[in-house]
Amino acid sequence: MGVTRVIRRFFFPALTLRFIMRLAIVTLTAYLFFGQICIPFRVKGYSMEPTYRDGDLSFCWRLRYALSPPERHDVVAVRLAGHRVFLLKRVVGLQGEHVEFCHGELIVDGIKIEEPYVSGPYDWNLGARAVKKGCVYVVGDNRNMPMENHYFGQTSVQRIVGGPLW
Amino acid sequence: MVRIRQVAIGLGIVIGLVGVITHLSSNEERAVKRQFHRLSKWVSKDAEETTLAMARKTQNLGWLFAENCRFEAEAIPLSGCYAPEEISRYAAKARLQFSRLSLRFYDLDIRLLEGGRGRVVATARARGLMRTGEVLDETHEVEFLLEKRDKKWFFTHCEVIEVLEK
Repeated sequence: MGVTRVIRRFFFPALTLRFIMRLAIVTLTAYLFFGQICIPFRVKGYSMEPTYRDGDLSFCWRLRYALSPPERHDVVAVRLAGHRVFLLKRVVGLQGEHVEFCHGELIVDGIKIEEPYVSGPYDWNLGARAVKKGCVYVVGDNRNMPMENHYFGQTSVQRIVGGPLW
Repeated sequence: MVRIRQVAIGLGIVIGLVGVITHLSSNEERAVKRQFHRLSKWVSKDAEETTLAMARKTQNLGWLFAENCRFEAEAIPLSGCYAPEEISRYAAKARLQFSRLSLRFYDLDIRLLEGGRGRVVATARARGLMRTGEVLDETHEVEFLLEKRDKKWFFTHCEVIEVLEK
């Protein structure tokens, strides 16, 4: 009898002021946390393979760059549109640097950069370009696709909304 | 019990006040939103659309735009100024390539400016199936400028915002 009562009270709680307050606080906290600070997202597309695959689930941690700017090799979420659409890319160049791809190698300021996250050889060729002030150069990990079909380039740091939790 | 009733009445009054204030203050915003709704409705098509419906939709579409509406988009070679009739014509031609097409706007950020002008930044998502079998699924941030003439809002400028610059 006691157990049934506990179960019933769990699923159909009495609408006391205390319960309503608790419900309001939990709802507000969840909304703020998952809506503004730790936003769930689903990966769509193949540009970050093999690190992130199409359909993967993760969370965008928006406080990642609250105190420090993004660094090379960081995976960042770039705001593409509105509040809900992000591009997941890897930072390869910082402001003031010259980024180029030469026969499938990333060259920054004339120095070859090792990229262990890229699988297999690729043959991209892109002339050197300077990363503007307040910008970073971002590219996806999947370099097996033709360069023309891969959406990458420099973007304002202000568009970076955080990084994935894993 | 009395306290809960008081809280409920208080909440009801607050919600009512917010509703009234929102209703009174955003008539213009709603008019702008309606234009986006119309744009979305008249661009979209389903598989069973008749020729007559298509003609009506593309004609209506032109009426949403001001004379010499400016389009700017790096991805498609259509940048320039167009008259409403030209827009209708291009839209009819473009829609013919699709067996299904939908355009939706999200996260509309509407700023009403002085002199009957408005600026809207929105997330536009176009999805469709081309007659060739190719699938279209594109999301972009788009900036629109609108002008109010004779109590109606018209699009005067549309720009697809490029987030990454190669």
